[in-house]
Amino acid sequence: MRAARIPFTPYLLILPAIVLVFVVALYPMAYALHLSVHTSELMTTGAFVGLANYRALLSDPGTLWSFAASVIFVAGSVGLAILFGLSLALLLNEKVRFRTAFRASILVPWIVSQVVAAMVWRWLLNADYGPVASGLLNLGLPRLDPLSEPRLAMWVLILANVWRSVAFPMVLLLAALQGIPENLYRAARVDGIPWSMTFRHITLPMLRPTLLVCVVILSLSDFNIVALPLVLTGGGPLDATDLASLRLYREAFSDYQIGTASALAILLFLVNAVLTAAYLRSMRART
Amino acid sequence: MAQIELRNVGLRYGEQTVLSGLTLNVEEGEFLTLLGPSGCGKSTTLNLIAGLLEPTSGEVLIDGRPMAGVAPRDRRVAMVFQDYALYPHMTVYENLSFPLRAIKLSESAIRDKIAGVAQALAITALLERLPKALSGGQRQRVALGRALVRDPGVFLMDEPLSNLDARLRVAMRAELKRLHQQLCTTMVYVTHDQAEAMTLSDRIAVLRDGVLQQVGTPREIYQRPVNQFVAGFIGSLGMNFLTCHLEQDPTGTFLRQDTFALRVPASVAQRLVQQGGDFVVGLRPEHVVIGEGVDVDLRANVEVVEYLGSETLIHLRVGDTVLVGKAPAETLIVPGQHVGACIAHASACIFDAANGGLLATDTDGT
Amino acid sequence: MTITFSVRWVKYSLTFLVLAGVAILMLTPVVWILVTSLKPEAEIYRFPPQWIPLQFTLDNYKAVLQSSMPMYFVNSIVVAVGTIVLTLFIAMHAGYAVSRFQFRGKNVFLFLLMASHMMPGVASLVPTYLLAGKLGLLDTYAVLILVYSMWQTPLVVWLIQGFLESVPATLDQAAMIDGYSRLGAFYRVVLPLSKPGLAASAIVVFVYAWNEFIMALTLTSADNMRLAQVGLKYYISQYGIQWGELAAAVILSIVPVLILFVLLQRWFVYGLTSGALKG
Repeated sequence: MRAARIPFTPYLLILPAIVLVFVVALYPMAYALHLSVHTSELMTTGAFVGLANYRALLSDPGTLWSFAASVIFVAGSVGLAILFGLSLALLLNEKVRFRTAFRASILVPWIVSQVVAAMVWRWLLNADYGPVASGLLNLGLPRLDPLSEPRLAMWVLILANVWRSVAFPMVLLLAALQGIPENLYRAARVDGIPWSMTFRHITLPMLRPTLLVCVVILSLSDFNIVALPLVLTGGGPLDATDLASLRLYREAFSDYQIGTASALAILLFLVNAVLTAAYLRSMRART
Repeated sequence: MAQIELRNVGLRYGEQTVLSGLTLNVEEGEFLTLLGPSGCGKSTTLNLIAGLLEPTSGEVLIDGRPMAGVAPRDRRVAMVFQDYALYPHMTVYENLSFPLRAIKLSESAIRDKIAGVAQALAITALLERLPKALSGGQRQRVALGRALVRDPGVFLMDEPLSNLDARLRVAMRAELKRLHQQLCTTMVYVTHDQAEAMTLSDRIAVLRDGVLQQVGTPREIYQRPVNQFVAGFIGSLGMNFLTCHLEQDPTGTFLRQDTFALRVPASVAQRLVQQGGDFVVGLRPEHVVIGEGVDVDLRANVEVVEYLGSETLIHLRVGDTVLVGKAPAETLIVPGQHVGACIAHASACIFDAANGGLLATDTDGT
Repeated sequence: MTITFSVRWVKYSLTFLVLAGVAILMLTPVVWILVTSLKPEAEIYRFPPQWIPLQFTLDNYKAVLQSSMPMYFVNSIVVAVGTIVLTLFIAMHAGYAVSRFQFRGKNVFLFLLMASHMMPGVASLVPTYLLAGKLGLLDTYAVLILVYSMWQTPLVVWLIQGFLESVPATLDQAAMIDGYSRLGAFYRVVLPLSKPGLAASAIVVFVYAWNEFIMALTLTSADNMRLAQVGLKYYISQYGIQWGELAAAVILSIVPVLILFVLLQRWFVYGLTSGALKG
């Protein structure tokens, strides 16, 4: 009996994608792992040092704080983006005049780059010439420079990030809302169920999978954010907004500590892997 | 025109067997129908002939030439798909010319060819339209046209009529038959509709779960189905099945259930006695004639009466089964009535209750 | 009756007002930059600031156009177009394989694709930079195009695959019987029918390549290889903060994306969100 023909066509078709993904994505990660267990001198790889780079990193309070800062930033950004995104989606799901125009306006910050977002907010909050400062003065409040206040800077960063990213959960949740069968609501209305209960027992459960996807994707992108904090706060003031992702960038490209930077990259990679696993799992729950 | 041969063809996906050990010949110019319920492997068989699938065992030959590794385009086959597969971004003319461009025919030759086919199918007026602007029947014609322009050796048709409404389907059925009579090209036709198979085919191949059950002319398959599955699948109402046991008394040998009894001719009786066990008697509804007549074989209660216009179907209660019979359209029988029925003994089929295989038709040996 | 009517009216008005308010708030920062870009320098540094300039001027735009920014824009366009071509080419073939074939390793391939897309950014920054340096690829379009394509390919495979799957497989089969090869059927029948998918993908890739900053910052250092976003960042340090010119540069950098957004909003939103929901 003749052997079945090997269907080589599909492999030929995916070959370029495989090459690209492996060469450009996976190989550098393997290289980072290699770098993280060696010393680095002026961008050349030195001796094998085992976990010394990791130990140095984890005994540095600056690194530990940067992870804490990342957690605060991600939790704040994701929480607010989901909250506002869901509220806006619910409002936009109503038949309101100018609905498409409203939706489009809310989408605009989403297409703006992180660099632009950072600049826009810097100028808006400028203590000397900005409209926010002038508005506060008009209200009889003291002139304020939030980007020089360690406790406010993080909130500004979160705010700017939510401004930039809220459209994403909004669009996804709006689509999910519109996918809920109208008959469920008709049935609830016929059964005399109040709005709050309808929301809790019909809308929210139907949105749950999409909410999960939003949380994970936003977490991933927020956790890896560099451009926005780099341009908006630069990590300051006093390291208040020194996110782990930003620290990695500075460790490598300002301080040229390739060994510790690589170790930090591997740590970030692990967090990403956990979030990705969560994502894949939430996708499976959806189907 | 071409002749097709399937030799012990099988197809498996991993653990799943889609088709096994199919051996089948399609003669030159023959209209052969692959008939069976969905998932029986009939479309798979068609795709294997077309070359859209390669068998995992056995071989397909067209005109005696093994087809392994031969691309669909090199098999001189044309196919009409269930969803017509008209290219939505091309006009009817472009659809029809697409296969001709593949063989690099000159523009003028293409134009002549299409003009001829379009005229034959009465679609000349539609040539500049896009498929979405066509009705179901028109799409069907264009799909046929695209198959015709290639002058193929074989037409393969995958349920081409199933997307049409009932009336159009009957009209297209007749048209297909006329087309085949004109062209005399070999056709392999897939359907799950036994009426289509009966009316169109020279021969029918009945498939079930990837296994060929029976090949034969419509008449053979209708009158001598090889097993209960084929018997039940063929015929618009299927066949009545009554599980019976064998009884012998001095007047003869009978297959009996409740008030139903079928006298078995001596030659058949002998075989049944040897075999032993239970038997299933198969009777088509037209062989159970309801009405008070001279030779009533059976008396039973009427459960349901279905008036069809041309005739009336009567559901009789016999033991734990329902027997469907026919009465004239103008009958006055009502549910609950106790009526007599006359059974056409010569047309009854006797199946083995254990495996459903045909043991005898009643006329055997008499 | 009147009571239910007025309750509905109040609900409607509230919805409308909240949405209008949010829409205005969301646009405010961009509008503020636009206003600034049209002000003469003296007015920019005036307190309290004016929302409507006392005097309009295009001087800031003229200055930007005479700076290196136009060159950075051209660089960005080159990289974006290169990325679109490479990504679409690779992704459409992979997407076709995934949508039309059952093959061993398909799920592993999809998983790897998904995983590599989901692990973005900074973690690979350092090794990518070092490898690019070793290969002598720093300060080239090629390295940016390669890296961007890699990041976008998984997403675009998912995206295009959805469109390919909406094309019935019987069309490929018909074309193959009609005398074409597998790839011929793909190029002549399936691809033309997937144009919206290709368009949506191109938009996604363009916006990504246009807006990306950190890879561009790291992998290029020569001034003539700078991309638009990096140029914006350096505008601050190179010329001191000239807010008027910076604002004009920012507005100019938003324009291409904004035009795409206005013209193709539907595909835009579809492209940027659908990757998240496939699985």
